[in-house]
Amino acid sequence: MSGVAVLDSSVIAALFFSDPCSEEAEKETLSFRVLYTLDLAVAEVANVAWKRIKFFGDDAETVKRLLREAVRFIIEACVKVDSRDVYEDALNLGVELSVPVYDGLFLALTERVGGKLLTCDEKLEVKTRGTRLHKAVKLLKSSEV
Amino acid sequence: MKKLPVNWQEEVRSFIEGRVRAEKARLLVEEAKLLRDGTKKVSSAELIREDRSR
Repeated sequence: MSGVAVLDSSVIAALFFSDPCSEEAEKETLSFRVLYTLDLAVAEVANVAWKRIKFFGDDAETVKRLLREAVRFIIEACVKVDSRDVYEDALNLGVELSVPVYDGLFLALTERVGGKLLTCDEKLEVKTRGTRLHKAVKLLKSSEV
Repeated sequence: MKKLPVNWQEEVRSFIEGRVRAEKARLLVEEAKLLRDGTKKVSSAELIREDRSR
């Protein structure tokens, strides 16, 4: 097991719902010794669950059960950091890199703990190219590429 | 060991907490694996990006 990883909400969602990134998310996540994420991940993964039920026709009971497991994962398997602890750094990074504060929060936490940010979101990885943060971001591959 | 400037109690506590978390991560992901196959393969990253970039 290697060091510290910060899990973007996209990775947590991929662990608990079928996603092109699921296999890689599982392999990478479980290879780290310490996992961090933000309280924001609960809301973002819950909204993924909502979209799955409303727009993709996934079975509501299955989705609710998986969401409960995902929230347990965030609370029990990760060190869950409050957004209020990193919001100022997040805002600064958001302005510097032209990314929304939501992305800035995960990047700020990654800088704070000195770990790797695991994400399934290519757009987030692209935004950090050419910046000091790029080497801290690991884009997880989709199985459909 | 007592002469070394290390808080052994804290070191041991932190190690055990980390191991418990890692084991929980493994178990929760393992349990979710079968159930998640019953959901449609959709890119959550894209769904989250819609919200973040709105």
